[in-house]
Amino acid sequence: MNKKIFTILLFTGSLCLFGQGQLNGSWYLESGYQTDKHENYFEQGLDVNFRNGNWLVGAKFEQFDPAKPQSLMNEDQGLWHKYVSYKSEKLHVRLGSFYTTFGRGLTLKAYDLQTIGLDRRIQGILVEYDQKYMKVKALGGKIYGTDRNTENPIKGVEWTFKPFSFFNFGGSQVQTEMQYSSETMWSSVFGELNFSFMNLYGEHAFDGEFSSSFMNIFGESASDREDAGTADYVAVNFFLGSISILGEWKDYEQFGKSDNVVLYNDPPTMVQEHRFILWNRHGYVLNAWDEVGFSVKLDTPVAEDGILTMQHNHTELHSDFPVFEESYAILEWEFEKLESAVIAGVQEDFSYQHKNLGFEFLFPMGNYHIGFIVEAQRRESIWVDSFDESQALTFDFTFNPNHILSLIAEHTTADDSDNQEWVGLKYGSRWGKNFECSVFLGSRRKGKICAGGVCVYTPEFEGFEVAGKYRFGS
Amino acid sequence: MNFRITLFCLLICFTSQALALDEDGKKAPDFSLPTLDGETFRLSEQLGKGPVLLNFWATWCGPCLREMKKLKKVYQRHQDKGLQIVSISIDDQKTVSQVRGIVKSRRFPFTVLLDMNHEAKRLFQVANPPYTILLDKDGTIIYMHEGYREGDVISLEEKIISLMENKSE
Repeated sequence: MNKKIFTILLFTGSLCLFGQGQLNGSWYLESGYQTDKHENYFEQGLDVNFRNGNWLVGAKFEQFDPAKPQSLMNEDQGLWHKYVSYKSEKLHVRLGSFYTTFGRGLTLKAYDLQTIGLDRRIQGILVEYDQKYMKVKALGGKIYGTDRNTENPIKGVEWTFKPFSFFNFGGSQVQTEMQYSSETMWSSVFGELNFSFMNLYGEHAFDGEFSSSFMNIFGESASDREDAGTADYVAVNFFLGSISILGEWKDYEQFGKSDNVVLYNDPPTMVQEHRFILWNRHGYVLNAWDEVGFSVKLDTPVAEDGILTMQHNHTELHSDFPVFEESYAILEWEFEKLESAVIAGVQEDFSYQHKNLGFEFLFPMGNYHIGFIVEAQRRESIWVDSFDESQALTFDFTFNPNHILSLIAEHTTADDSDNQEWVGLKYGSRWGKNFECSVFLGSRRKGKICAGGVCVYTPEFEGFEVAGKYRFGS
Repeated sequence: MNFRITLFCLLICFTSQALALDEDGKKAPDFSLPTLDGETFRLSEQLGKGPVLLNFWATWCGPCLREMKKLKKVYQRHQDKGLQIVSISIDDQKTVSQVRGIVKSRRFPFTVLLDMNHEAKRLFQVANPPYTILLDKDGTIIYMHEGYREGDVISLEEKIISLMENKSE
């Protein structure tokens, strides 16, 4: 028997037999077979936790044999997550694996995204103390790379003062040892103002100790190094009734904190993730070593049942070379029982300009619901006189509503892959509140997929996939 | 090998489910998160008034916004009977700046919490938003669904009405 599975079995069994608390957990399985390449993937995970009063004990087993093509993992299995935590009204102490973020992620962001197989965990101790006027977060241990096994030591602290409900400020400091870099320490200062008509957040991060920044303010050098990095991020949101105007600005220079596969920070990109297939395939990948940019976004209601969203964002290198720009508008409208959306926008990177147009319709038919998304995209090369066009159609048929049947079809005139047409059929079903599953059959075009603002490249797929999830406990 | 591991995983699931079927095993875990106004929200302090609906969402999630639009209407119909909707944004530091704008422009009337570090998300084992959990006035989990499909909110509203009728009895 697999030792790790046996450990979980022993762990859950013991807790249930001798404990008086609550056991929760979930199991998932995702598997697929590519008929054209005769390759398969198989992933599963079992996440179990036991809660008793303020105490929480948990463990998670994961298996990749091998992982999904777009995953950052390859072939491995392990009990990477084990933890014990105590949380009262003001104090939280956690031993074992955990995730956390300092500020807006300029100095530290440890997180996971199961959709794309990303796991940047810390193993060690986390202590948080939160009272009315002050919050302190301190951690120590090892931070793990995207391969889940490479590790670097890490220590960090974040403190926030909350003198008024509308104003808070603080700082953070991270210390590590890297194998391929001389970086050891970086820090940040941040502040936030929050009123009913406005919200303002600003953060400045820099190489070196936190205390050295104050010396810098009074005229002494914080660092003697010429390559010392800095990162600045500002977000300001104005509200005029129901109208919202958001402006963001970023300036990252020599601040992509990484050591081989160990990544420490992940500052905001300001580039929007879209829910439309073609449009979302050309997201921008953050480069915190060298980028500066801004974003302006408007959200406003239109009449009683409409919403208009408009955004423009621009990112360039410090040498003024533009790397990504996007402008778009989305109008969402509800008329009687018909829900609709129209999108139009332009994206431009250093190779291509993408012009996008899309329509979305949703309407009920008795006990059933029909949904259509139609998208068109024209891609023009910036360097040579050439273009290609792509179209995508998504058709959803929902019944009950525990069953959904989706048809996803795509066509392109681009000649950068063997195929120019892709068709896939997906069926999803829920069984009670504990179990759900889905089956996909067909083909899917290559390109980026994004989740939570992080994008990974996924290769073309032809074959079938099955996925299932079971929850237990509450 | 895969088959054996899968079989063991299922064995643990079913055994654990069987062991967790007592009433105490269905309570929602307590948590506290900041609201958009900078105040602290604690779930246990909101119980006892009526059904509580927890809805995990994100600004970049299209189905979430569609579901929230429907939930807004449900809330308007039942808020005076004690229904509370707690909308938990799992936007991380990259997109959290957009939360207030979306809530204001779409005029969402319910309590909105910020779960930037995904503490509540992990506590409820939410993989992908939207994720909706209905609690009765005592905090017992009555119903939950992951994802949003047209018609979900209709069956959810039926369960809310049923809870309210039980409460009035």
